[in-house]
Amino acid sequence: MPFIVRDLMVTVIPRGAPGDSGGCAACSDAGSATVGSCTSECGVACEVSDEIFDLAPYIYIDPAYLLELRQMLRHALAVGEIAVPTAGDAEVLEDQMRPRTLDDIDLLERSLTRALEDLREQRAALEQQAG
Amino acid sequence: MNTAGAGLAWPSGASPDLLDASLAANPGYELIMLDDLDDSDRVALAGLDGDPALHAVLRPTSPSLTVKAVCRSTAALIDAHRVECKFARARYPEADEELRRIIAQLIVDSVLLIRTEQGLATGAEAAHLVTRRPDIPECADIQARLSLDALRYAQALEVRTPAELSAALYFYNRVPASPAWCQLISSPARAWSYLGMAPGGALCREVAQAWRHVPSAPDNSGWAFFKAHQRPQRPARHKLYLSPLPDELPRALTAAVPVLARHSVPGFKLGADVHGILRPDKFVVYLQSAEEADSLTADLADCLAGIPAHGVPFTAGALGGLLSWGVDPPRSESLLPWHGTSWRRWLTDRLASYLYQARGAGSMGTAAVRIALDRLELEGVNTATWTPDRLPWADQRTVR
Repeated sequence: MPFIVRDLMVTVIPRGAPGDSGGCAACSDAGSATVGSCTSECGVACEVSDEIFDLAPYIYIDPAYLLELRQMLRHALAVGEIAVPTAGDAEVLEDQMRPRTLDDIDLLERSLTRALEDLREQRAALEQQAG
Repeated sequence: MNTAGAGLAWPSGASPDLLDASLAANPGYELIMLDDLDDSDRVALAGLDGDPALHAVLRPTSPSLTVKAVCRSTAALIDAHRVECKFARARYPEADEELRRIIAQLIVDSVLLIRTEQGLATGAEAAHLVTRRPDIPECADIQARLSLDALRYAQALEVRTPAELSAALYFYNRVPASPAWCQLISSPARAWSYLGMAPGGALCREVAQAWRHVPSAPDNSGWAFFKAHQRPQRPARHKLYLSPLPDELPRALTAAVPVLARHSVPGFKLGADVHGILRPDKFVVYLQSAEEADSLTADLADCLAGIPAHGVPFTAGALGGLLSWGVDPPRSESLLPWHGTSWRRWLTDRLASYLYQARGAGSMGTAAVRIALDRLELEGVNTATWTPDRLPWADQRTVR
């Protein structure tokens, strides 16, 4: 007598009755509905494929998309010539944030001056309210 | 990387016969006769009634293990080792090789524990002690390499269930549905046009002479099915995968259709939307026997020569990845609603479960992949060639 061990592919037994799997009526009526499919043994030629998944969250898993996203990110980093610092590279990060050109410095000065002016206006308003 | 079990050794120093080993049932599994299941479990597992040989369920107490169903003989074997003892070889009339196979399976599956120099061991930790192959097999062809790549990819994913892992394996090697592809094949009509199958066209007329197009179910619109006007006499369980790169599919289809017609193939299916066309198994031919598949492979090899291949993981190779084959399992292999019914799903479901359990036992990377491959070999699949060498329900093939 052969020994049989069948992995049921679940870590817990699902609760309740199995729902409509999307398989063909003939397969389902035979009491062995398949996942969105009909086996090639189905006697009714129900024309339903045997190779789709319809259990969530399959739709969210897509190696090809992940690969593409990874390539796009690498490309974007390469184009931007950005050195991505690690957690311990605070100095690298600070260095990247420093202005590199006179225009950068002018822009930064203007921003800082505007920020100082905003603060002064806010101080004046608060003093007026208090006075 | 965890190299689980690498430090384990046999009590005697040398590898003993598994039939002489001291074994114990894993207390992490509860053996429940099918008749003793509660009502809810009985409803959920009603499909198991489709195989009268199944007798009991092994229900794990840990989420790192999977539920299993076993026959009466396997249940008795497990029950005999509730307390650790030597395997009672004399009790079993079966051939020694069958006994060794089932004991190795039960150890790798964490159902049985085996005595080692360091104590009792099971699952991933003990796998290298009970399987024969020390390393991952050499890849025989492009499909084998893709299969191994898929396993390496999937084992690194943060997924929660064997089913998710199976999906990751199954879907491996699709071409990304980039904006350019989505624009090119933005509707079913455009898909037909891309394939050269627009209504009234020469190819459409040629196909219509031998087959009829049958509409897909609403939830399965990614495929276009074509069935021969005359129904096949036997179930068409043998599959030939034609896997050109997506931009070569129209050329491959035009070249292949006359050959399929000459061989009177019972049916075939094509990816019919952008996602279907971009999957590696975008063009699948159904056949009734291994002989038919061999004969068709030989003829298609001539007419498809020179077309760049895409490559279908978990299929047996021919013609450098452009053609490969598989055999759908019989209905009795997919008794439960969440079990796949195709050759590739049959493989990825099992590999996913083995990977899941290996990872649950702390194995990572190559170690987890090796355990999954070793366990599948115990089922009867050659994981170097991805051929069903010792599967009782699969005919053997001659063309490679």
